[in-house]
Amino acid sequence: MDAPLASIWSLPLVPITVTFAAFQFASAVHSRFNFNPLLNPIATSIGMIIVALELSGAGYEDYSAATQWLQILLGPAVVALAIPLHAHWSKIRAIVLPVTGALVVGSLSGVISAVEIARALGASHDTLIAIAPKSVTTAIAIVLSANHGGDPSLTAAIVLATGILGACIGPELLAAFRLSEPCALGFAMGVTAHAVGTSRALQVCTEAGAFSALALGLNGIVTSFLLAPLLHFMVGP
Amino acid sequence: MKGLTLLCAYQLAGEAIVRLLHAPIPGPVAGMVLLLLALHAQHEVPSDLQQTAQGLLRFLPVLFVPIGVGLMANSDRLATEWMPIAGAIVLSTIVTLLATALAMRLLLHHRRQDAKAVRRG
Repeated sequence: MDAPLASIWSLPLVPITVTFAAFQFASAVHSRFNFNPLLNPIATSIGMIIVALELSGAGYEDYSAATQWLQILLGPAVVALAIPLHAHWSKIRAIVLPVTGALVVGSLSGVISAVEIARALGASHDTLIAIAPKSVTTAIAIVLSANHGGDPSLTAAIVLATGILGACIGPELLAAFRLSEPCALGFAMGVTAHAVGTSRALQVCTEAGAFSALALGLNGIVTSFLLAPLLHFMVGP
Repeated sequence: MKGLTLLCAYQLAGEAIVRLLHAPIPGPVAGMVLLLLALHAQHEVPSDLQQTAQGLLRFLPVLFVPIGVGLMANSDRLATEWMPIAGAIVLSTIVTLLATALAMRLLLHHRRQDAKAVRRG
């Protein structure tokens, strides 16, 4: 019964078309509900495809072979992040010191708190590595995790969950602590919740959105440099 | 096409530098830093590079979907370690948000007070 449906996935264009179609549908739902972060289209399309694979009796291998080549584009896409970062660069010329300080504090607290809390709650060595880059923008977090021997798909899911949570609670949490100045709020959203947080910051105001976009790019760079020594001290080789 | 060639060339240059220096950072991130430095040296972003980058970045979220679907291949780990993973995500997200915003605010106010002191002095 299962076999005919499962074998459909082996046509190379099927997994690709299903991926694009699922994402397009998920994006339409996301915009229909005013871009509610809980309906993040990446997360919902991942869920839909997993359910479709399970229902048709297919495994991940049936799906992954054809979509491998999509991942090659991840590298040039990371390089392309330099262009929006360059566009926001002028904002920090006047406040280099606060930006640098907040960036280092944010990057360190993001990595250290994630690893130490996960360890205290009993996570395994491999999971600690996958969780360490949780606040870094997904494209960079995936390469960082793979570089340090973590599982990229677990990192992708953790990064998404972090972005969605940060986007949902960020502005309210910061307001409760009287930290809702647009530059502080936007910067914290970008450092903590990367691109998903940035789209929520943009809904707060354009200044918060700009600082958030700047912060997500800078945090990707700074955490890339800090992660190796941090993991060496906290998790060991 | 020139834009895509440039992005790939910068990534390759990044990969080469990382390997030569044995630097523990990903090659694409090194390529991104190189491109950022190059853009600062010029005054404007070449239009074909701008267009390619915009197109690729709009397409970027779809690239994460197949990687995320990979979760089904190792659902065991999620089943046994969901508690530490969820706990770390929730607590660490709260800590990082507050620490970053607080640092930004303290440093900005510190700077403003310095500026006032200079004006008075």
